[in-house]
Amino acid sequence: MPSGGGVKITIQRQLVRLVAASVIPAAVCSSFLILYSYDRQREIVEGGALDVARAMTQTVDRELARNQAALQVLATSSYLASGDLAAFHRQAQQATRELGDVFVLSDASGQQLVNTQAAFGDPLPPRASLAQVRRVFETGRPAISDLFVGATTRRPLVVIDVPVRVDDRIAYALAMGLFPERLGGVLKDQKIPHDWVVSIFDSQGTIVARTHAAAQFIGQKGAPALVQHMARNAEGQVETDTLEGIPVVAVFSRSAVSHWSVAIGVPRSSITRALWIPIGWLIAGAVLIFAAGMVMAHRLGAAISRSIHGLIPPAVALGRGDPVVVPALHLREADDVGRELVSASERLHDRERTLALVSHDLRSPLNVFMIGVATIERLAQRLPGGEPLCALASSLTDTTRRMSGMVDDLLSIAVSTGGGRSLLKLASVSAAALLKQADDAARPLFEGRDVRLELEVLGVLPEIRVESNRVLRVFANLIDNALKFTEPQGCVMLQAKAESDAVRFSVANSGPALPVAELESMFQSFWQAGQDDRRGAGLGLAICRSIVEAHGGRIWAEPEPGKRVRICFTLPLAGISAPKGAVLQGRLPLPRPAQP
Amino acid sequence: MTRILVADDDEAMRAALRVALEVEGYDVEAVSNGELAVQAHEKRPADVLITDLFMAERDGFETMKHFRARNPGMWIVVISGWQPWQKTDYLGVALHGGADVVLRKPFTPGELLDKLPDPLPRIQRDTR
Repeated sequence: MPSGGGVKITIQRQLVRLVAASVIPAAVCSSFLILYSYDRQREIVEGGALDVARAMTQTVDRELARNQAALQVLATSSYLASGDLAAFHRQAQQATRELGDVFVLSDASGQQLVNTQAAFGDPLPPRASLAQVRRVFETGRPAISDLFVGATTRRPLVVIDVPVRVDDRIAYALAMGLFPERLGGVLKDQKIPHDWVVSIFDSQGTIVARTHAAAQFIGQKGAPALVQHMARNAEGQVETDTLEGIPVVAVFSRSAVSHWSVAIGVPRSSITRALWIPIGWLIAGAVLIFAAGMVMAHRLGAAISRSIHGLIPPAVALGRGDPVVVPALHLREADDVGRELVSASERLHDRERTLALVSHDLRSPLNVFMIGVATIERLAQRLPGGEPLCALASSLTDTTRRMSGMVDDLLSIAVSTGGGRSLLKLASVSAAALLKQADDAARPLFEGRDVRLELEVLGVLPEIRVESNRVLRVFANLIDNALKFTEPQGCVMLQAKAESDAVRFSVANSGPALPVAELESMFQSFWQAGQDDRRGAGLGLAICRSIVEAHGGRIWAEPEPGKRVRICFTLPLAGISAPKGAVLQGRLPLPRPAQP
Repeated sequence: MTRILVADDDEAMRAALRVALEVEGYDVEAVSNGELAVQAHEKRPADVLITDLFMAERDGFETMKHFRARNPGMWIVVISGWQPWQKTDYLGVALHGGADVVLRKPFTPGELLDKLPDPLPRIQRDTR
């Protein structure tokens, strides 16, 4: 019977677990490293994008400042000081070839006086950015508008206004209108990855210029999440979608001068690509290593299994007592076990040879003595007045039989406790028939004694798997023991009862109860019922225990009211697996040992 | 008169068996091994062979085989100290090998006499 419970696992599966235990933690660690690397990569990309955004913000500021400076130069035109607005109209029209897209001169009320988009003298509407004109007159400082639709141009544009001073007072506001296309040129000059979406926003979050689909989105508000962040922070980042719906990590920087912002949308896919490529390689590598590990585990497991399974026939041969032959095994450890099996087999045979020798050497002189005494007895029977000699010879015969029995007992214990299980010859026998045999064998002992032998069978007894002679010896020892300690007019009770996986036999006898402490120690060798009692060698119960346990059964003593003791033992049913190492009857005899 | 040949390497055993059987009226010759038993039989044929199994100079198995081949009618009794717990059933092998009966040591003369075929002619000894 295999030791220990639970699910058994094969070597191959264990090796597969080992491979998994090696590969999986490494893969997990690598994943963490990749994720860490991804985070670092993302930080680097975002940091780089922010630097670009800052630089572009400064570029936009410089572009606005350059236009403002040019406008301030134009504001010093002598035509304005002299009030020759027609000449100034011509001068401004010439300036549109290199500077802004449109120039507008207006008075403090916002009324346009000159507009390079219209012929001089044509009726002109008031300025659309009236508030900015008033601010210029009030503060005397230049001003830059957000993107708006011009009153004359009917197109979105940005306007820079500078004051025009005549005789130390602000006489006009001179405005330069810049169409988004001109500002978009700032973006074109930057060397940035083609999939980055860069936008210039005015202070209200309106798109002024854009690298992608500019015509479609200029004049629209940016993505709401981005616009909100830009309104609250000078710099930052936010994960959002572009107006086209591209998921991006958007970084932005706002100018402290113009309050305009530049935002760069780095597509998340370009960042995650840096993650998924190594992860893909990692997964592919892990799968490859795992598969290779599985193949190796399978091959190694098969080799180990072959070696271990190769030990089964030698182990079976050892159990049967057959010669042990260990095949060539590839595994050194299995080879070691094989050598030990061979060695154990040799030791077992040595033991048997020794026992045979001891048995022979002890039995022969006893037998000589027994034959001699019996012959004397037979001769004495024929002699007149030979009765005393007869009685003496008879007593000597009994003594010799007891000595022979003690030799049997000693050898029986040696065999049962020292590997004697392998010597059991198990066969299926009827428990009822065995009980009857034990009863029949015991009856003569009760003749002439005032003690009853009672037999009780509870239910139907099934077959048990035992070696009959050995079990009969158990019955003989127990009944003999019980009889020895039963007072006249008492009784010895033999009982049997079927249990789920065994038959339970018991022998009880009437008399004063044994102390409870004795019940456990009585199966030890040389146990005696009382200090002064020397009615036996004290081996009878120890032999019973050895024999019962060798059969895979159990023996114990239990108190019973009105009884001296009840000794119970179980023997396994025929259907239950045989005890480890037990040998079934019917095998071929081995070659005899060397002559003792 | 029935002649019995005893082969046993134990001198005391030979003596005990010889006396025990002679008391019962048999003509007994006891020898220490199988080879001597063969020689004794060649000199004076015996009706019964009682042999131990383990002896020097032709053991019980060989002796039994020899006699069984040449004297099919001979009554062969094999005696041995074999015990039921011993792994190899030597007495079983002996029965297979041609023994008429086997007897496990220790045994009494009565048990041995019970194993002999009945009736065997024997002399009436006056032991008085």
